[in-house]
Amino acid sequence: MGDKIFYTTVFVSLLIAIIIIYFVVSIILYHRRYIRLQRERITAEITILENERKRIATDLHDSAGPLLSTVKLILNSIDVQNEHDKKIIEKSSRYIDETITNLRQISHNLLPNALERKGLVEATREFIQQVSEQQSLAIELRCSGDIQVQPEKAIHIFRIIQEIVQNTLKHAKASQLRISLSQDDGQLLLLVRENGAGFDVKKVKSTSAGLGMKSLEIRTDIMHGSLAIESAPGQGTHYCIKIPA
Amino acid sequence: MQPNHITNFLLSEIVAIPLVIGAVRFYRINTSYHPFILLLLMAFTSEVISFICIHFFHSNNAITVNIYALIESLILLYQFRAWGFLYRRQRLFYTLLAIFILLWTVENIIFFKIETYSPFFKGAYSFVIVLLSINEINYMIVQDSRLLFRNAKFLICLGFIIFFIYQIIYEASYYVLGKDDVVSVATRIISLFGYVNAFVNLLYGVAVLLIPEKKNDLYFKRHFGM
Repeated sequence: MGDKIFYTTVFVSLLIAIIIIYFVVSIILYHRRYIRLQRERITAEITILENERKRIATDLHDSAGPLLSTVKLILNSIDVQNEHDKKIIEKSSRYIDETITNLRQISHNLLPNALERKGLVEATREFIQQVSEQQSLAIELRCSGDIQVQPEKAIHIFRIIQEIVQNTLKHAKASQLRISLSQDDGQLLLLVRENGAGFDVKKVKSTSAGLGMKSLEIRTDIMHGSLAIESAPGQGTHYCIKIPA
Repeated sequence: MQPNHITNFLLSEIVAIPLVIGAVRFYRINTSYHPFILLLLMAFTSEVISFICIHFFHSNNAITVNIYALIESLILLYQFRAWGFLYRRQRLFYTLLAIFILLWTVENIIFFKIETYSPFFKGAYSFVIVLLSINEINYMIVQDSRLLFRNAKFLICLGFIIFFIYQIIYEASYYVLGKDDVVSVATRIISLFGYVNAFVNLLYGVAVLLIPEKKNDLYFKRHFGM
């Protein structure tokens, strides 16, 4: 009788242990699946967004731009005698030129041509040059070795750099920003350091409603990479992003 | 204190509460919950037949309990199929169905345990139902953003887990107790079963109240008032 009780107790305990283990394993598996689905959903959303940006940029560059140039040509070919009319045509022509320049700028901001034609490093260089012309921030780009990145990852890395530069301009009050790109052991390393006001990373992550930081995290996550941000008030900010190539 | 068979019967008849609510709402609720309402009806019928056997004919209710166990296990499997998990895994559904029928036949017919208590089949299907319920609950915890304690499926699965884990312990206690031996711990476990059953039936009552209505009907009513 004693043996029967012992073995039955052991058996029932074993069943309950299996139930508990199954509970833990099952919730872990569902959670992993949920994370995977979330990542797939966000990747799809960002891909749609980038494709749409590309389409708009191409339309602006290839359709609206030439059309406006044609309008300008036709306008200039009008033979007018009246001085007042001539001035109006000149003024309109200047507006059309401005509009064409603005359209090119918008198209470039949406998707830099250099990214597709010359790759990540050249596109970043072009972007830095543009920012430096308009802002007082001194930006330095260092690349060690030959940087080879897949096009679908290049766009995310470029957007990350854009986001960090924009954040620095908006919030950091920094005078210097250094960007370093290197590739080794099948891993792309993007290091960014600025000497701005700095911030409390944990606090900003938990309270910020802005999309900047989230965008960095999401794009890094999509590429299965890791993002580390080190900052403290008054000590500038360091970004370290590792991406498997 | 051990409850007598009338107290046990009254406790078990609390199943009438979710059954009545289910019957009233039957045509309005989502059809995926219909097997559960059928299960409540079977439980109620089984308890009434058991009471009649014991109280009026002074006979054993083992046959009723054993046949009910088979019906319950099959309805529960069908319920998990209606909820989708076993529908997506047809092979697992048919395997479990075959195992349940085979195990019940071997224990009750081949070993002729139908006129006595058969703990192995009940223990086995309870174990499977607990695992299936855990699976459903975990899916809801991770995927469902709604409040879980107002989710009928969550409450029903919670009830299944409580009831069937206790049933495993209960069957083990019966197995240890044997026919004439008196082991105080096992006796207490067995006597508490009625109260656990009553609590779970009250939980089912709340769950049946929370079962969502048929979606299509709701949309048609809202847009066409019919």
